[in-house]
Amino acid sequence: MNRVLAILGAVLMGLIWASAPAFAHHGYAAYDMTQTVTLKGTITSYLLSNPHSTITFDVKDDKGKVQHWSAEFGYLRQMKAAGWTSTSLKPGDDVTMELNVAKNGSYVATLRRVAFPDGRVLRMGGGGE
Amino acid sequence: MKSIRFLASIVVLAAAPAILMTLIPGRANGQSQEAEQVPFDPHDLSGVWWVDQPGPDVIFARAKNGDAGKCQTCHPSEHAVPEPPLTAWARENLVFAGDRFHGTLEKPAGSAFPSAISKRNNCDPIAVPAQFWYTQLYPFEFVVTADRILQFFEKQNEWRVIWMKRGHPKDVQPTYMGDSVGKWEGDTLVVDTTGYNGKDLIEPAGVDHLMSDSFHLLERWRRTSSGKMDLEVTYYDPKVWGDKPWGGLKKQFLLQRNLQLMEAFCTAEDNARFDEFVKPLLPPPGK
Repeated sequence: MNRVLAILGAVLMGLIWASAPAFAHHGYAAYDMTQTVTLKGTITSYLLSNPHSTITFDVKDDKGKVQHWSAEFGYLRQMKAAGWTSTSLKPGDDVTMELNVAKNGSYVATLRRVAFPDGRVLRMGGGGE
Repeated sequence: MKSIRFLASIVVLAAAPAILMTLIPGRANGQSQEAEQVPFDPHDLSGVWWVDQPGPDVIFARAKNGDAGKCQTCHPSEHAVPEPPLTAWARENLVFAGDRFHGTLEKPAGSAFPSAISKRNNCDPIAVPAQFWYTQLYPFEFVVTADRILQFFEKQNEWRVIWMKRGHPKDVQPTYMGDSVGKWEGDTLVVDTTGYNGKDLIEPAGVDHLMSDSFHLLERWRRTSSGKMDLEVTYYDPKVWGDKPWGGLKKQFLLQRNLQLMEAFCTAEDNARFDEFVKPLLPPPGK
């Protein structure tokens, strides 16, 4: 009986979490904005969009294990104003990124800067939603 | 003589960059390099306009200062005077969003209507005056015709008509955007909007309640130079604030000569996609 109740409780909590209200606008509170982390990784997806643009990328840790990261950055108008295009990044690009990472240790971050091996740099634009 | 010519050529070469800078068009990110002496028609408000954009360092500095999530300074209140006190009717009947722009996700206790965040996530109409708040993020465009001025807001692809040759209809159909009529007082375009349906947020951040259906918006637009335009806004809402107006809201816009409005619809798909992105950032259940 206790096991059944525990399972039901876990299912119920999962349903509550899954039905949490939408979080499309959230600010920077979830990230450690006091320090910037530099990561080298390989882009796996890239999307300029509203309300926020996103990338996903793979990072090899010092043991060779691959970490799957995602990072958000500016809304479409902001990034266009900063010179980004729909092809500024593409899967397979090896880049060095400056980020503010999630406080809770998840592989989620907000992107500050992208540098390519050939010296090109992509920066954020002004404004912010 | 040769030395004088040589010195003169040095002076010309030194001044050349400054001379050239006055001829370069404004940058697309809002830094119009308009020379004040360029002639302009103050009754022609046409063009794409945007507020001056802070650089990314400003945005990240605000976030680093711990204001992220509170949004006291990442999106500071734009009013120079505080909101008037609410009437008894407003305290009992107004919809209180109860959450800030980037704040709690919970619907206020007892609220019969969606919260501010859910209104945004539902892609509800923004309308004016809330669209004026968004002009710190998105540009807008005025198109002037013979009998009306069209205002296109990039944010959420919204638009409105400012009727220049008629007054408000007697039996106006209440709408999200209201009915806007304009007239010139000298070189100031005065726009009066009534006929709201009472379902709008007044501003997406900083005002935690909806307007009532008696909301009345007064705008004063003035093009002060070829590349600058001022806006002064006053709110009236007898059901909410009695006979007290809420003014003190001023904005300045820069003409964007090289900018075109983009499509910026709000879609459930985009919101859902980003919801999935931020899920790892949410606290676990029970916390």
